[in-house]
Amino acid sequence: MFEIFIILFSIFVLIAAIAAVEMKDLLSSIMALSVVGFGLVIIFIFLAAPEVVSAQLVIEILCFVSLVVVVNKTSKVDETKLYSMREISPVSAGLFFAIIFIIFGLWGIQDLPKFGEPVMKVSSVYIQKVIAEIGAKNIVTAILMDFRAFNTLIEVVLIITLFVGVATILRKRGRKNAESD
Amino acid sequence: MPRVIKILTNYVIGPIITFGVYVFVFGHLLPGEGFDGGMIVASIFILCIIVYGKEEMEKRISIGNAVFISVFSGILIIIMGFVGMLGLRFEHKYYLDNFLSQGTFSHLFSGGTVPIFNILVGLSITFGFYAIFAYLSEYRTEA
Repeated sequence: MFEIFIILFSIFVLIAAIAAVEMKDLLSSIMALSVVGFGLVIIFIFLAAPEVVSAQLVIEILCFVSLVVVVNKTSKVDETKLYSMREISPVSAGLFFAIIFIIFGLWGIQDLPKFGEPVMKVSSVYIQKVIAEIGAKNIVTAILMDFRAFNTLIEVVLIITLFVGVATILRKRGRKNAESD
Repeated sequence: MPRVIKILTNYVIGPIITFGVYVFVFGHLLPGEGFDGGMIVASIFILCIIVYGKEEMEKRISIGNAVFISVFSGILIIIMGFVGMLGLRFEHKYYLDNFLSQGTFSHLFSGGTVPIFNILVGLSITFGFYAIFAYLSEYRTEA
């Protein structure tokens, strides 16, 4: 029953993604991009994953707002021409590697367990140890903040690195020196 | 910004900051964790930057302080990871191990270091995203 909804919304997300790439007006392109994000939110609701839903929802709203602000301050029309003669070799190379990736991906998918029948190798250990050793009620947070705390630490480092990058590109002193030269 | 939006923002600030802080303080009992709660609080800061302007917001929280809080909570997580290597509980000696007692099940003070990590990650994400957006909102193209 739910698989039909998941397939329907996946097709919907695909159409919205193609529309987001092809649109010339950047504001409507951002609208299509956020349709992709909220379609993913609905798919995650059908897959019963409330943690991923909340993270995806908040990040999608923040991305939408900041993209709209950026487009308002810069240009509103997409002026890049993708289909000129010079672009043929990168596009064909991309298609070639996509086909190779699809072939090897289909080859690798055959060894995976079926949808809805997980192999409980690591996660069964997590489920047994959560209440006895950690005592947190929400098992997802217990896994993220204890068994996989290194993952979370790298997430925090990533945000700080992002700030360093933004501050390096948009610093004031470098631009003033460039103007005076 | 029009006056209607400013008044509406004033009414919205309090409940949404309370909700975000609730999400990351109660992260070990209810759905949501430090990352989600931090993003919710950061989103209300970004709304304030858009509505009131960057200069008005920087009088309350300067970018230097925000970066300091963000980096300092990241450093605290690293230090707590090294404390976990001492093997205070169960004789585990891993980096980022849970070294506090587990407490009463499904109470606020339970889960050992999980709620502390939640709060630190939430603070780091909140002020990190605030600083990033404040830097980005300064940028303009020449008209």
